[in-house]
Amino acid sequence: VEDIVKANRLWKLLLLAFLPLAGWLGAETVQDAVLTTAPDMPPAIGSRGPVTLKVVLTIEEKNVSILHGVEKDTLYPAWTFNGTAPGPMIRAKEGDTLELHLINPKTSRMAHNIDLHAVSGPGGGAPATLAQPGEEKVARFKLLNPGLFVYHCAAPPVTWHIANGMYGMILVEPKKGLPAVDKEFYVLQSEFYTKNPFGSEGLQEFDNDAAEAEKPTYVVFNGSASAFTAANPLKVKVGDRVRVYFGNAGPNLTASWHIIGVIFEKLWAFGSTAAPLEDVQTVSVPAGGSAIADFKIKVPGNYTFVDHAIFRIQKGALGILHADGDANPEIYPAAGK
Amino acid sequence: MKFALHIFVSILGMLAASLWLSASAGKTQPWPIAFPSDLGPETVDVSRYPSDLQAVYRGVFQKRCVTCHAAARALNSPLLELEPKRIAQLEAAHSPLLKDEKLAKVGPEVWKIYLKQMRQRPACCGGCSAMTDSEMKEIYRFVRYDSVVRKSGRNTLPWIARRKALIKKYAAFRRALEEEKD
Repeated sequence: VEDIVKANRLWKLLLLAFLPLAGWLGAETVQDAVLTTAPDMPPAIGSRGPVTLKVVLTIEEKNVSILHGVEKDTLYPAWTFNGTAPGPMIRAKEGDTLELHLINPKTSRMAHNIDLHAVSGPGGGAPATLAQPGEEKVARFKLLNPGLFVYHCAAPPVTWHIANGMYGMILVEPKKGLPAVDKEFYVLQSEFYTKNPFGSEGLQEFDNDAAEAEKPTYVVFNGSASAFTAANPLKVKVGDRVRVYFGNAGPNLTASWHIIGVIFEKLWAFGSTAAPLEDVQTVSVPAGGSAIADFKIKVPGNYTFVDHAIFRIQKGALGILHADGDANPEIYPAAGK
Repeated sequence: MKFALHIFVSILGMLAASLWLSASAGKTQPWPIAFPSDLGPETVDVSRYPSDLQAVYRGVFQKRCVTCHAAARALNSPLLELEPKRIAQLEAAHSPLLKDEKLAKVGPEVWKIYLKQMRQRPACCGGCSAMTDSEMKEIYRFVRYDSVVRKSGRNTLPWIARRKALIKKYAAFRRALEEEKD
């Protein structure tokens, strides 16, 4: 009996010794992705090697608030990834394998899928992930190119699926990573088309004619004209190095993203993480595109970010970033002095 | 008989409007005059309003709205928010409130929509604070009540007369400016 016990122990020790060797030989490491809801970002990845990154997205058809109301909020019957429009931010690294689980509950009225602009191959993954109500689809994609990419549902009709809120973003960090910053935010612009005018309260109805005419009722950041109000701004401190991962889901308009009183010191245009531009005032972001902006806040106060196609602020394209800290009169005098 | 009464009330309204406009004339105007409403009075007598609305008028309306425009613009605007049922009654009665949107713009959500547009202003590009949701709700309660009291019911015809007088006065004001420019 003692011999059997000894042999068992020896076998277990051998197995433990062999595990790192198996890893070195290329056995797969699967990690659950950290998913965040806008405006939060998942933490920077750091210096790890490639992994298989498991991402679970569940379709949810639900009413979302797109504007705070006087008596009732303005609600839109959205189709979402994981219950929010925009859907979660996925953070991966160049060379990772994305293992995507797309769950479409039985209660859904439509088939849904996902087209990731970070994926190389037909449909960006859409045909491989098309899930009928009640189905779960699993597909693996190699992330070959770094950058900030939009993803969206591409099930027919793709127009309605994007107009109804099915979009989000995936950041594929380059192998060497991105420069460290103090604060990171995820901001995505999109449009809603409703039959009633801007500001009407209660549940709204999608207006296909307005969408075809490219005349949105709402142009919003992070799914709501009230996402960043005076009471709920993005918060930073004077001296913080801030980075915004900005996307535009459309479905129609090109964004002219600008922060009043801020110059983008580094700007990775079109979501490419190659050499950044410097000292940029406004960045044009096409529907289905993105940009990454770094800047330092030097003076305390409120900074309003807008789509500088400026009438869109009246449709909701307006948000506030608030900076706390000491005044800096050498750069910016106090009012009236 | 009804027609004669109508004419009599209209004349009374016109007279009241003239007196009201001359009383407000000559006041310092801190904001540019861009609309007929800007030429009207900048205050309203709220002494008979519910006490909570009097407090909103003094504590919120008179402080917040003047951040971006004269209080007169809101107080003399044609906006009148009524329940759909009440609007249907006005339609059935061929009310003059529904004849011309420059005189009275009646709808079930006109103030709600207007106030949300005001909240969407970029707060002087960061120089002053933006309107908060709670301020918007308070101001809504006041302007809705105030406009129902002063623009509908027995005040319908006097209100329409006031708006006509303001529009006329604004046209004269613009003409004078153009002449000055020439």
